[in-house]
Amino acid sequence: MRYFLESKIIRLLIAALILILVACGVVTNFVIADKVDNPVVTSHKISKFAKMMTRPGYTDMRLIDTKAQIILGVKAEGNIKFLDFEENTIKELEGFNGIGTQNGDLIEIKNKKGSTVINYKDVLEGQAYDKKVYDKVQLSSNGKYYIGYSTLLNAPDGHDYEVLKADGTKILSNKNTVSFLGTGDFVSLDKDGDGLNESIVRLSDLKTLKKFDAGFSVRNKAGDNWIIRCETNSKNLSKSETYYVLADQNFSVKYDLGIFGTLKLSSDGNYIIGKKLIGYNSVPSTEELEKSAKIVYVVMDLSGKTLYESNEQRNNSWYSGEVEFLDVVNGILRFEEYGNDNKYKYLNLKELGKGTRVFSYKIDRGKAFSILDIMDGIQVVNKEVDKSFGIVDFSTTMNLSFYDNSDNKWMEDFEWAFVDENNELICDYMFRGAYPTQDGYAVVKTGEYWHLIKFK
Amino acid sequence: MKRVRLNNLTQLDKVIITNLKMIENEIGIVCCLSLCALFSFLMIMLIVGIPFEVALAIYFLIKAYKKVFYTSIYGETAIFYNALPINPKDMVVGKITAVFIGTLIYTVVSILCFIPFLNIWQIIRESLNWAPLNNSNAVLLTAALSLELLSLLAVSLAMITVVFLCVSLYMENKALRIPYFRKGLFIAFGFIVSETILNIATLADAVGIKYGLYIPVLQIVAAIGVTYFAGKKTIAVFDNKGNRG
Repeated sequence: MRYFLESKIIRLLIAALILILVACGVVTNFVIADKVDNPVVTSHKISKFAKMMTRPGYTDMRLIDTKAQIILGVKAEGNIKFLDFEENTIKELEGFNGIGTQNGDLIEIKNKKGSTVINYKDVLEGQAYDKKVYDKVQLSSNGKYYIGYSTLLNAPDGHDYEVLKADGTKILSNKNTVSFLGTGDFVSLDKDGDGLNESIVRLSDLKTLKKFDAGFSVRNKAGDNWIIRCETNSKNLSKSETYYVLADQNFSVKYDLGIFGTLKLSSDGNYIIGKKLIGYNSVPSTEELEKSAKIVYVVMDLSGKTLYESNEQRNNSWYSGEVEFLDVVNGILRFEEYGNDNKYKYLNLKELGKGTRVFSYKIDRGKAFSILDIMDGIQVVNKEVDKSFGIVDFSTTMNLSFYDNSDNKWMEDFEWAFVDENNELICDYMFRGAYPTQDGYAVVKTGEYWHLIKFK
Repeated sequence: MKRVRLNNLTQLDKVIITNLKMIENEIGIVCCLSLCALFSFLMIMLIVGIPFEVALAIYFLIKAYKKVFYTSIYGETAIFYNALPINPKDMVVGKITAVFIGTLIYTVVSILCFIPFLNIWQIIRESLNWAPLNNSNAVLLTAALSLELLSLLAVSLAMITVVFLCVSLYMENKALRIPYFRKGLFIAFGFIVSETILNIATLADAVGIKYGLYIPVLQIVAAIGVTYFAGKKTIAVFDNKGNRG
């Protein structure tokens, strides 16, 4: 050792190496290491699962009720079978060959003529299921009602709409468009067939809550409020005056918010995000809008007071530095800034005026993120394209880490594996309908085979 | 500007400086080649330039190795070098240290030049088999990074020593005198075998051993061991040569 240390060059070399190591340690601590302190989303942790049943010969299969252990399977020859988890047939419906949407006990079933809706519990109890077949059906998301639409009912006038209760009792019919509002306790009706809905009806007592002179459309609902877009003159749409109102849950107008290009409630229900047109008292034609309209994005509280607004910019121009306000969750405004590298930026509206900090991170165009939740300043985001998850930490700097299907980094926590009875891996790709139920069951298809699986 | 001089240099220092002078051209060239990477934003540079640059860098690095380990001892300049009053220990340690310093300079310059184009965080996450550390704490990651860096340096030192040992064994042991074109293969074989043995992290990963901080530590110990024994063996080769001579 002394032999080496006597050499001045080796001493210098050792000093240089120590310096490099220290520099690396510092860089790691300040630049890299803070990225590893993000918590990992563990609520979606799914490990291997066991196969419970495997059968060929079905064109479709749907898990209907895991507690009652009921599966609905469509046989290739055109029958629908209710099966238990051992594939014993509980009930068979003839003349149907497809399954549509399901909400609660209601299931849309299809044949060549169209769709009908059954209450599967009633069907299993032996009640009649020979409901009317419509061209299309729409189930309310609360599972209480459905709308049947058919051009056959009133052929000379074209289409007709019927609103029915879950048990098949007709409660309302309308010649023109009927659509559910929100989860389905209300419907909006087009009475005169001009393509614009004018009335809102509460389905529980069939009371008409609101009648608009001209058209209206419900923009969205968040919290206890609705944003409604109203037309004052339905005859000349391109020049009609369009204004927005904020209504309570029974559609009584709370505030007239005025003229905007677009307006919506933030997903937390506490803010209104809008695109304000500069120099127009009414909404100009689309062409005019594209060419010359100037806009500012605004974020308002529920009384319509502007809290924050963007710089003036051209409508739909996406020039570098221009922005689009997207959503507010927990008082944090998310907006996208255009440029060579598009960025999502975040602004805490609760801290406005206190030396506002705007956080940003780079995104790839076409990869949209939506906010799932905010926990202690950590935002959990969902990349809508392929259902991957990310975490954004507002509390320090803007740290973002993602679980990506193409990148195995979080795969250990999110891995989907398909195993046989001996726990041997068969295939490990995401297959049709593999999203599991709350209690960990899923019906999946690989090749010709359908499998009922239970996550461990 | 007054030139800074190192006074009271030991014999070893003088050997290191002499050998560094031998390869300063080559190291300078490979460092300049690395600077070319800064132009990688040009697509043509990325497709054509980088492979060309890497090939040239390898050529000049081999040239540097050859100058230090072969030409100065057995080649055309041997007559001058062998006339210097240097004992075998100083010669071996000096040559290995000089090449190590040269390689270190080149590596540091290359990394600095490539940093603008590399996602360092991504590389760190995805390489070196330390996936288990990804979501652990910062202190552990810092320790792992430092240990990995140390192990890389130790392995590179071991490689250099093994290459020198291979060259000297080949040249001094007549039994090993195989045809000229196989000389390169013999050295490459020694290089690859030691590289394989020393790449403990990859070996551990291949047999399914979970990554832990003990892996780079083991790697450092193994590399230092290889350096020590290969160095000792090389000195012994030159000692014998001196006795014979």
